[in-house]
Amino acid sequence: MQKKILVIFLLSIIAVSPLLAQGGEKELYDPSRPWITEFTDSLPLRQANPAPVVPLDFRMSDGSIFAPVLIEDVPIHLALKSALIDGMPPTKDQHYVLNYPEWLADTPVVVWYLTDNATNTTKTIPALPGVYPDRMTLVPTAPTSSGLLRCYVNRRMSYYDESGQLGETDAQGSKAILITVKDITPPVCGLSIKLSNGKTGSCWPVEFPKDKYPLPKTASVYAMGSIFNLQEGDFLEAPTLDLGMNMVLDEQFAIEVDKETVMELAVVGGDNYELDKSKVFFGVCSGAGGEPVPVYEPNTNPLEFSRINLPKKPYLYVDASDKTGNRQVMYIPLIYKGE
Amino acid sequence: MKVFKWLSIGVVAVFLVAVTVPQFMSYALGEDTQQQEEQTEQEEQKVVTADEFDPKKGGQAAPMSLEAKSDGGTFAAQNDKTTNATHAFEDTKVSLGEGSTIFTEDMKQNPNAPSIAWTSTATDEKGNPIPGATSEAIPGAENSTQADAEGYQPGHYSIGNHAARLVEVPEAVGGPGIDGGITEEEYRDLIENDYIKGDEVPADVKIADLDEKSQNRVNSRRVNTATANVQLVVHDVTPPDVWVALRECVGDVCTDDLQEKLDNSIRDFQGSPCGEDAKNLMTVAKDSELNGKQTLDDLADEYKFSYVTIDEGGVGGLKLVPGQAPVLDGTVAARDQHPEKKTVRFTLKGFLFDRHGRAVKDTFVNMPTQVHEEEELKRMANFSFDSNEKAPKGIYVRKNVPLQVFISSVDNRDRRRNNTNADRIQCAIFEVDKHGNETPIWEGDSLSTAGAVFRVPNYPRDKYADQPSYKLAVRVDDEPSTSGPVAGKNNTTYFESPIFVVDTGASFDTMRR
Repeated sequence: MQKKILVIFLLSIIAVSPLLAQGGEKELYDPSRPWITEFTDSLPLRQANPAPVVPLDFRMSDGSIFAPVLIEDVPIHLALKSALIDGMPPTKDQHYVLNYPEWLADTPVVVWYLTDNATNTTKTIPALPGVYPDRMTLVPTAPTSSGLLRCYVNRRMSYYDESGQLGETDAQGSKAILITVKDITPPVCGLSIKLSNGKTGSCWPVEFPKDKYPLPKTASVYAMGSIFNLQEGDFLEAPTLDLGMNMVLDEQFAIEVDKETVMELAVVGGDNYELDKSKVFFGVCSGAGGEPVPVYEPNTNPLEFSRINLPKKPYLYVDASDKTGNRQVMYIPLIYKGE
Repeated sequence: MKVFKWLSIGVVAVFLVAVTVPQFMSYALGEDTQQQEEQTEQEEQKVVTADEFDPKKGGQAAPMSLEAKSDGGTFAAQNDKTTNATHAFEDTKVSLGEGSTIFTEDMKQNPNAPSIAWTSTATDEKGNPIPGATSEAIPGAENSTQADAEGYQPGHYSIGNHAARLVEVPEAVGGPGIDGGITEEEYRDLIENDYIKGDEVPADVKIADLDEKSQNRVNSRRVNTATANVQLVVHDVTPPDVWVALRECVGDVCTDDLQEKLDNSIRDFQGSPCGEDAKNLMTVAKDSELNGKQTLDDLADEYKFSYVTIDEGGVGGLKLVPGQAPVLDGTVAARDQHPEKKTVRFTLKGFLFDRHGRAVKDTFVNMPTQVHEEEELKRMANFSFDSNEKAPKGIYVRKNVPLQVFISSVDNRDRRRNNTNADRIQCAIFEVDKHGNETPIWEGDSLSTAGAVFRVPNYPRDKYADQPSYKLAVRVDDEPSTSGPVAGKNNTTYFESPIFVVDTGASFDTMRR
């Protein structure tokens, strides 16, 4: 009898075990939806407690319809249009009645983002409060050919539910619109230089102050390395040059070359949005400022100075454009040690 | 019968007036067009329910849920559905997760990945953003439906989850839909709603070719958004930082402004006698970077006092070398440890801790903070000289010389910016008889004006066994929590020390007469 019971018991375990195993299995990661985690996959698609959504829209502050073409770093003045700002709190949610609703917060939390659709990267945009609570000034600092301007507002409120229980929640609204932000910042390209005599160095601009408006954009230029007769850890700085086609460095940035010099060059830096790699040039030119006048085939690398007829005022130059057409040309003076 | 006839005519007349007059008034006032325009916009902005939501239809705010969970244990976060708030303890990790219809639709229908952002905004209790506070992205959470919120100081935060997803535009006229083309359906929508005149959809038309109003309509219809918010209430489990300056009231140094300077210094250095962060210590120590801030040592030199500091510390300590700025002893002092690992740092310096009046250079003791009431989860930084063998035995003062006590405190609930409310600072000197009975001979928030005077020496104790002993006790409480699992409870820093009264004849080489 005992044997029978044991056999039945074992058989029943064997029979049930596949079911148990099946129940315990769960796909933790779905490659087609990498943003969803194990934790969030189990969440319901709507809030278990009231979370009223209120319509939200934004316009230009003069009342005109929002223009979806923005210019980098140029402030825009917007007005929010929603009951979250100046209206009454909502009286119902999807499945709840919110009796006697009252705003708890005098001021809503407003968050703005700028998203670049190509890379799906998002930046928070600080909003400067205006004179009225619905007005604010935004500065779109990231250029994009296809982006989203996103606004999210939430405001804390209280209510009584149907059983008379006092509750709190956030009423919220969101709005996003497809936009483009035109790039107006020239590239910030520099040169990494290696000489045949073993000296090396780099010279590059950094946009400073960042996101400056009104134009012109400005940059600080830095140099480091033995090529500029600097010790390790030391650097040169040329503060606030206009970032554009006239970035002419002074004599402290001069590089000494002679007939035997062979110079290897590499472009460093880039653009704040999209560098047009087909329009990046470097080499030796005559004179500085404006359109460079190359004295040798651009982008020849390495440069053999024995083959170059140096002009009276030779400069190394780097000429870079971004895909919007912003252009930067930087000139580094050369000192020729003749025979 | 006649009555019925007139009644009928009357009802019809009233109906006609009721219908026509408002329309006429509205027409006369010119409100019609504007209202219609606003109505149209409101329709576009219609809030949809989870059941109604159609991911292919753009311009909608989709439903979303947001929940929090943490790693459990004593300090686990708690969700309060009634207030849509999550209560957490400082220096713990809270995982937040979201669910929304816009994340779960069929990927074949829409290959555009959602754009997800998580932000926290410091608010007051009612949810008003704190002036000057900016919304900060939660690190490492971009484009993920889960975020780990940690490292928050005690206070209230609005945690927002903000998502947007482009609606797929598969067959756009004039090029790719998202980058510039417009679909036939969208163009027809513009025609039907009088944004554009005409019947035919042109073969090549881009969004840029449209007027601003039409562009806006198309662009608005191409994104779905979803948002959910939760109030994160971070509860304080760190006892306040306390500085106690002990001074014999002699000489010509005026102490009228010492309390104010001590308050400024503890605020400037955020409760740590040598700066908030150990890494900043060397920087802080540079005179050029102090910007006029006075360190505790500066004040001690100027006002000739000894001091005791109790602050949230860590495994390391600070080395105080006379005549030099304080330096680290080689290990990093860590604040903001997990509640179970929090430690308190005890630092003292001065000549009142030595029976012969010699300056005690440095003493550092790191000890864990204690949970003084287990179920309340509130912490106490408790230190008495009796409890630690390495520490000096007490405070030595001379008979007939008034002892002044100045106390300053900051708490991390106030982000170590403001001094704790003075009524939460308690200071007392007790007379203790042979039986251990304690009688307060002085009580207050500090002992800064007249000071306490002891007329009869009681040290060495064996010589003056008939004299009572004295004890200094300092207790500082921080603000109690107003909500959540620890409502009404607060953290405490407590310090006590015996006071030994030595005969005036004792030599105090650093005192001024």
